[in-house]
Amino acid sequence: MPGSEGSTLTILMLKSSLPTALIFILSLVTGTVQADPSDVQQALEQISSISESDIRESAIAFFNTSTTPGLEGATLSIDTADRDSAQWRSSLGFEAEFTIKNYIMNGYWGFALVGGSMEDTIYLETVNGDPVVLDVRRDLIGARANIGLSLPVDKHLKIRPLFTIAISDYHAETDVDGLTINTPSGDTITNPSYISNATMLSSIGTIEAAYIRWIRQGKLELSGRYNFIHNQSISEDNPILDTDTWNRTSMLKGMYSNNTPLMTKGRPWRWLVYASHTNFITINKSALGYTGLFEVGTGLEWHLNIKPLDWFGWQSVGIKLGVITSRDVEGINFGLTAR
Amino acid sequence: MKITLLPATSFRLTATALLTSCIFICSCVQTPPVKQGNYALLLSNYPIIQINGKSIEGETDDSYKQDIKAGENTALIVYNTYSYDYFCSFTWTAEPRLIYEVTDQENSESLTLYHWKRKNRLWAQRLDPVDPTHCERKPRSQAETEADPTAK
Repeated sequence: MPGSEGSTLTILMLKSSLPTALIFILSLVTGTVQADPSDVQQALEQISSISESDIRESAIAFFNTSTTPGLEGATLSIDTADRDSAQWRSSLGFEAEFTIKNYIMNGYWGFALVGGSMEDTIYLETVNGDPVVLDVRRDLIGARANIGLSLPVDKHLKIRPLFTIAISDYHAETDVDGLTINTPSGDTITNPSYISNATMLSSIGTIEAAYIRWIRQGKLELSGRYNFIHNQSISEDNPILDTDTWNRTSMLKGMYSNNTPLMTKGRPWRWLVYASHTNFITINKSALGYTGLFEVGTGLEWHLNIKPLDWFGWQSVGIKLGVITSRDVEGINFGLTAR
Repeated sequence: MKITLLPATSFRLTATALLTSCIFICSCVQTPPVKQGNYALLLSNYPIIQINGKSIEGETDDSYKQDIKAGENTALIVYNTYSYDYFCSFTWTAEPRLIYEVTDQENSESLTLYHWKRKNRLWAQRLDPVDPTHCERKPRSQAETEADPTAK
């Protein structure tokens, strides 16, 4: 059964209760990625004490919350007394089954381009009590490809083991206003700026279960996905980011759809309601301020049912509106969908 | 609070992704030819067992692609799973020079028959969905025994 997935744009608003220590970690992820590690150490000593492992974890968290398979697009806005920031992620691609002749199982493959960005303006103090403003911009763009199998247990249930490779180019620019550092070479730098680059790779093993049952004209879809992720970061700019880690995420989603009386060009519209939960199991809460997202929403899908370039099926396009809430995150999700 | 609905970078990324995907897909596409004369083409993602009561034999490809005569046709196609086999029968009137396709689109029935009509150079439409007249579910072990009576 060929299919496709498209991008979804989501608006999220974090509760305004992020601790300052968390902001330190987030900001220093980019602030420390630069051409001269010795200067970074000087800056770290003047702003706060923070471990290298915190920096690594935050960088990997930003990468994983942008590129992990199964994630939809999202935009986060954070506005507190200490911080104004915006983060978004987006992906555009498709996944499809293909026939393996003479076998019960089908093949499954997909490809997607992914991107993410985070802009932070963070208000801090040095150890001497002087105000410091960090302006940080991080960008990430990459590609993701997966291959696997689709195993039909019966006509309702499919199990899919998948393997995914993701590669991303990471770029960060940081301006530190109000800070003066003395470098080991004896120079004094005021308002230092840092530019850094890294290549981030991940190998992801996924097990997915998808269940479908029709109740008259209504269609109930339940799915669960568990990702095992090996991350590797390579940076010539900053040895701190030469690292590799293991992470896990889980995703659950339920959706119910049914007919509407609406027709466009002879094709039907269906309404839907859904609920989903994403759990970034191994990400420390201090890294990004949240470890899970719960979302409920509704939408409309137009079943255009075409076959682009006579190759793979594209069943529907639609819009959806959801509300996101959890212990640490709340917001709304407005997006375009394609299946 | 600042909320950016669609940053410029996101738009550029989306446009680049669309273009790249189209180029990639174009390089892999070949429209299947339809036999000359009063024929139509039946494609299936699952094995075709019978056409108009006649069992399909021969190469593996024959089980997934058949030239059929225009007019009323009946096709028996099996949807295999690890628990059951679903033997689905389709009856429809085929028009000459057209392509028909049986696929699993996670509809209410396991398989659906579509008429495949080219809309323009970029895409074809799947039209006139036909559900099977009936699907017979058989446990996998029973289906294997019937297919091969000598099997233990």
